[in-house]
Amino acid sequence: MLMSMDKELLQIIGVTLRMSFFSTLISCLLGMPLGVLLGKSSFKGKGTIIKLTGTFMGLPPVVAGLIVYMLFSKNGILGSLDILFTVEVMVIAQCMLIVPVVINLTHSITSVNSACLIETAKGLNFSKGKTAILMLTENKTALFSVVLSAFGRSIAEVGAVSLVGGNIQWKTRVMTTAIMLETNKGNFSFALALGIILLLISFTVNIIASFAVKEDKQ
Amino acid sequence: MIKLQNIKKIYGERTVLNIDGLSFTKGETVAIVGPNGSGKSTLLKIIAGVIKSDEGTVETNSRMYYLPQQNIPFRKSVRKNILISMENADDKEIRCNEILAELGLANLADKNAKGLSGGECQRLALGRVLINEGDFLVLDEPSSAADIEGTEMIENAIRKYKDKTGCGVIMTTHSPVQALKLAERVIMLCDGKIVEDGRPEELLINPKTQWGKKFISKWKL
Amino acid sequence: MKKLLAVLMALAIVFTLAACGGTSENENKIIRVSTTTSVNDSGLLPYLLPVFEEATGYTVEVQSAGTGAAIQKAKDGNADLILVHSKASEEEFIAEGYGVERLPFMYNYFVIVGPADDPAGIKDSVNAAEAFDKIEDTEATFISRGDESGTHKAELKIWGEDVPEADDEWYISAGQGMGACLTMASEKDAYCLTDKATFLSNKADLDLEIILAEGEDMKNTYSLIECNPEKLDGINTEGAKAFIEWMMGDEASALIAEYGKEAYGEALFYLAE
Repeated sequence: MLMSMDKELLQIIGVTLRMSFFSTLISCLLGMPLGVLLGKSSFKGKGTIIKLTGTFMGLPPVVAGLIVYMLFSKNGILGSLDILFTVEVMVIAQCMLIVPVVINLTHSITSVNSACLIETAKGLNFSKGKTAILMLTENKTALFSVVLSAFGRSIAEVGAVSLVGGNIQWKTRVMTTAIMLETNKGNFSFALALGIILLLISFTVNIIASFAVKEDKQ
Repeated sequence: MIKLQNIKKIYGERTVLNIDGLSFTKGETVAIVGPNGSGKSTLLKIIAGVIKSDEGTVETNSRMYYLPQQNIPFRKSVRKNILISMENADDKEIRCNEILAELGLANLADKNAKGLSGGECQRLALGRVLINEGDFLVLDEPSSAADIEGTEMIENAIRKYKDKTGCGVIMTTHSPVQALKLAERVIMLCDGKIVEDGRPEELLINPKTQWGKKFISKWKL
Repeated sequence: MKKLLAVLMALAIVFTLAACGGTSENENKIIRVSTTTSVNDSGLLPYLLPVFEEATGYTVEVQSAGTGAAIQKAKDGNADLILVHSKASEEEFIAEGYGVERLPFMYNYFVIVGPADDPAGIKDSVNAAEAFDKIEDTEATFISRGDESGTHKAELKIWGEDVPEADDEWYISAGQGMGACLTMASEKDAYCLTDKATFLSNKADLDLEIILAEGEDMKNTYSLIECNPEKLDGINTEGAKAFIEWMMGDEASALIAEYGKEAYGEALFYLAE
């Protein structure tokens, strides 16, 4: 059954990986520096910001999808860009979901040893940028699990991507929306098979990632 | 020159540091002694500019290098720990090897610093500080984790650095021997206040305060 | 790999156990209806059910999904009867022994909706097949449900032999429910085949008009099928019979004929002759 739709399945896996890769990349590029900043500096309202990111970690994907949908809809503020129902807009919606997770996790990781590390760095007269980079590299293993969490949330998410992506065949259909579609068609066992493929993809990515971390340790 | 005036540091209800005036000149080695919780580390952090005092001023235009009490090795090789701490120089590698040899870390140079023992970590942390030239070294218990041999290496390295650069050294210690051996001036802290400040031999023979007498009496020299 | 398999197995067992716990003999005051989204989302069932429950003392649990899923749920023994609109699938359901008898009880018309300026010029077509040809010729954007629902199957039937390829730029296979497809059509200025009830109930939010209605190939018949207790366990046959009898009776017929007139100025469903 899976073999018969080989070409389409490969295409769907391709779109899924492309979407998840960019969602993860952009979310981490935005979220990690902010998380480090929160971890290493103290200012008024910091507690509020951390609570906000915690709150947004619970943002229902459909709501994130709705907000992005309304922004990019024909009559929306950014409607003229005409990117609704594309992979790009799916990535944007996912970033809304994932950035708070990355900020919050990065903050809680870096704030644990940040006081000591910052003292050490200040004692050696490191610049602010050098200190920030040090905080990232010192927490590399833990931050890698943040990247994997971001990837996991991205690849497993369905509510936002089906709303803004539209689950269009050959274009914006990803594994999760394909699973949803097969479920709606009543092909429950096929849907489950797709779910197992999705898990296998996740598993492979995790294995590759763990190798990457190991090699770096030397 | 480092000049402290009317320094106060308060944590919650507790005034951990309360100093009217204190100054350090380049070239002198000062040991700060006192029991746990007397405010030694806080004083060093304020001098080094790592934390700010709640009241008062620290006046200085000296370049300082500070070694915190807690040593964190960076997640890199021992050599890279030193190199990353060094400001730009032409003879980076040579100086790095020198300091590693001096601190007995040469044979560990390519090991990951996370695998070092407590004493080795402390020597590495000191090495990161000593690799640059500053006007003052501010060292918080630089040999607290070291064995006899390690302590000797650390003390020699500090002395050599001082001879070479003519810098000032401000350090805390729980070792009376170390204080007497390295310092030309000993400051005694109690409950955040300075109770004694003078040459070590004077202090040893003739403490000015009751409290100083009591503290010295516990030194088993 | 072994670990992964073990985890999967464990999960499968949990799900199977959970599924087994669902049915029980003494719940015969509950009727489980598996139906398509169009019947439920148009508001027809929420409108009829309170009257039925009041009159008979039954409680009706409605599960709405695409026709494919609605039928599959019944095949898995999770419904007492189905209310769907896909003749071929219904006949297959009965042929396989899952259903007792197909009872067409109401119908309405599919409509082709699209942008008001009708770029493909389909509004004077005699039927949907002609309109679809014009859409294909002009390559005007067309949103297909693509989910094997009743509406999708009706659409495929209208295309006949030459169903467009889904990788044609203009033919978009959305794989989503009617509401989502209509939204997409509105966003992309596209045509879409829809049941009238769903369109009218969503119309306020859509930038779409009915371009073609009531061609002879656009009839949309809804049937009731009682699940076969000889094939499936735990079927509330009595309840299913009571529900079907009431739905095809005078009281329900009168209510169905009136439904929609107040809100949309026209009936949304007609009684089957």
